Amino acid sequence: MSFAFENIPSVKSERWKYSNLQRALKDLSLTPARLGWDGNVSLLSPHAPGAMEYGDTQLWDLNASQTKDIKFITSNDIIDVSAKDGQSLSPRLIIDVKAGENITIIENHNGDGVYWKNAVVQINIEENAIFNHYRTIEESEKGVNTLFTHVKIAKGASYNAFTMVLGDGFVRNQIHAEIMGEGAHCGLAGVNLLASTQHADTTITIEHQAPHGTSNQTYKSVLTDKAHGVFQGKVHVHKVAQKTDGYQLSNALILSPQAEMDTKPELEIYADDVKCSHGATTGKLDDDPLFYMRARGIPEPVARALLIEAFCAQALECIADDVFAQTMREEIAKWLTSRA
Amino acid sequence: MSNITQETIDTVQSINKYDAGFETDIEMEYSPKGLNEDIVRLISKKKNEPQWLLDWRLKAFSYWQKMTEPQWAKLKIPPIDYQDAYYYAAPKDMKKIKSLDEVDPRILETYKKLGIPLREQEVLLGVEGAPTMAVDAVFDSVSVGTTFRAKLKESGVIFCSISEAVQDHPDLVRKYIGSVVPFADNKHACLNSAVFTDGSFVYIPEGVRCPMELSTYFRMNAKNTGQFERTLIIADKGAYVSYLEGCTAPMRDENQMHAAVVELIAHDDAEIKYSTVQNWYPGDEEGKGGIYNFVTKRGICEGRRSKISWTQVETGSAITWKYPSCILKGDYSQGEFYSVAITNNHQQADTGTKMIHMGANTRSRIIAKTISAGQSDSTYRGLVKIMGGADNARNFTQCDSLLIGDKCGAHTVPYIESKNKSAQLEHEATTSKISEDQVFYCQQRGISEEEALALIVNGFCRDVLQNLPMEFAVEAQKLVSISLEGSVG
Repeated sequence: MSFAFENIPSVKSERWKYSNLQRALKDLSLTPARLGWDGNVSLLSPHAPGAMEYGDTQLWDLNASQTKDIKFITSNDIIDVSAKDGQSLSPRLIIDVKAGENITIIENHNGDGVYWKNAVVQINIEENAIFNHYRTIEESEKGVNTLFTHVKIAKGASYNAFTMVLGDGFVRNQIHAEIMGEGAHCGLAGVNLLASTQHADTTITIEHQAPHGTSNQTYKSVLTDKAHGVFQGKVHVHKVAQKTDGYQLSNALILSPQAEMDTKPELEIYADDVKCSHGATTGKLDDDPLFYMRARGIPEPVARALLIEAFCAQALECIADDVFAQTMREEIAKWLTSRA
Repeated sequence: MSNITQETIDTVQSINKYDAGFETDIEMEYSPKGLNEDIVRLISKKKNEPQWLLDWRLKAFSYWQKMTEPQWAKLKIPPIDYQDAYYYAAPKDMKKIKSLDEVDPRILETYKKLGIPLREQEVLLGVEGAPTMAVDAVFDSVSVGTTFRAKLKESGVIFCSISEAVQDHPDLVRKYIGSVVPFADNKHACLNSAVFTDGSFVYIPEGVRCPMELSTYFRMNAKNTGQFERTLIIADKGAYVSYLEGCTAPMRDENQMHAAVVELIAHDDAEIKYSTVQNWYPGDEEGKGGIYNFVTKRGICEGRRSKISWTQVETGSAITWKYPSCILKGDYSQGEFYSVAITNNHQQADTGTKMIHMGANTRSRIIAKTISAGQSDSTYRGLVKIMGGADNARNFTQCDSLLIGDKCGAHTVPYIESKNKSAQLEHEATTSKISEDQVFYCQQRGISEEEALALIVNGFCRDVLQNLPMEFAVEAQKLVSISLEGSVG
């Protein structure tokens, strides 16, 4: 392989406690490959800004040293990040949203066979702009996707992201958002539908560095078979960020005896005039509503599917684009039918 | 014109100080300074310990030399010079004493000043209002006396210092010591295992409800010493005990170390209620001095339907590193953790709990209230772990933080790990400041800003404080107010 193993984060690191990337990559034989994006390598910022203090920049650094695929985006777009069997990819997306604009970008992550995609997405949202960022991640059984997103949100701007994790494989979806200007908003939502031996890790850091900022996280995970779900979310409110309003919610539904969910929602707060809270639940499907529906003639599989759809609905509400929201609803329905 | 009475002045002066900060002048016997195998042997010899215990200590010591301090807590801990302290300090002439009446009056005076009832005669003579609470008083490295032993013995309860237990009940000690917290658990627990000097031992026999509250009062007095106490509480089948722990130390400019280990064992249907009011010297306003409080507390609900409940009020110490935990092994067992942690000035606290669900139908409840003022930093860190066999396990966690001032920090770091589909886990956390409306409302009614603050904070902590036994609850409420003195304005 083209990288040294000691540059891969190990489970000894607090931020990788629940995700064993070294094990996922251990026996893969990969060769560096390209997606064929152009872009000027010299424009690349090598370090994850602000992420240094969390000591979790190894994958960013690795991407910076390896990348040959760079794409600059400033308007609506649909991007595919697909890997082929045996590939090791290090793509980098650089998204710049100009002041006052409103753009939507959809990313589709998938692949065939055995591969590792170590992607970095760098986003800068200028004043009063709106950026809607939608993603579907559907990897293959032996696919590894480590996705590091860094976003800076200026005064009055808004970042709205939604991620749907389906498929299989090993996924680390890491988002580091920095609220840089007054009154900026960061809304993150996601649905993780996990099956077989899939591993999906959502790790979020939101840094409030300006007053009157708002942030919202809504994540729903459904786990079956031997799936392993991880949610780590951190809201870090700096001293200057008075009047911050931060909320974080993680709900997980465990459907099989072998599935595992690890949740670590964190609050780190240094400003006194703030409203920050988080809620996390892990549990099974409620028996009472199931019984209620069956008593009214709805067959059990249908009743279960209905309950799971309802469970995910709150996260879908964060999607502003109706067409994409509808697609996501269909994806959930499809996932449920295939497992009924 | 001001109308301030002398009483007001005295009150203000008394609450602005760390009340327990005085020093008792008494001749002490020290071990040589520093830590090595000979010191461990010396402590063991002083205590006239059997060979197996010395071997255990030495094994712990050899492990300790290889271990590194835990680094994961959100604490800034200056490097500790383990060689710059005395590991054994006892008041002279302790050996000859047979009853409490013979204890040096200066020591008795110390406890009287701290408000700790060491005299049982009053109660036995029927003096009205004298509290019926058995106390084990630990002064630096030794227990100076235990009250109400005879009365407790009538119901079969053993309550004595751990040194006496080693002599009188070696089988019980040998069976349980290190069974919940193995000596290699972490560096601080390991150090304790090597050099622990005293602590309390409690055994409640089958079916006995302990007739009174038991308590241990720890006093660190001597300079340059560390206190390493070890507490072991065993509740046999169907037994019940409520145990309280209090601690204070003199005000000093240098830091002192307190590394305790507490082990609780609850058999079938037994219940242990463990309450702590921790008021070690927190250091001065500049952050100079204070106690490093590195404590390993863990209980195991060994039997079915057993229950362990931790309640803690943490107001003292320069640095607190403490996670009272429950291993819920027996089916239908229950664990509870109620905590108030208050930090002011330059204090740092990283505290919380661990609830390990192993048995089926186990339940746990965590209520943690964190209050940060001044330039302090306070973290709640808690783990809820559901093992595969813990069918229908249930957890509820609530963590609330209150920030007073814009130079402090409050953090919440919960770890929630579930490997069972039938388990139900809930976690909630909030962070906020004291509402201006509430303060305004109080002030409008003639309550000063500081008093209003104390009132609101006490209300914020109510869920936890009401779980403390009566005598402690009053004390704790007062402490809550005092700890926040000077944090307004």
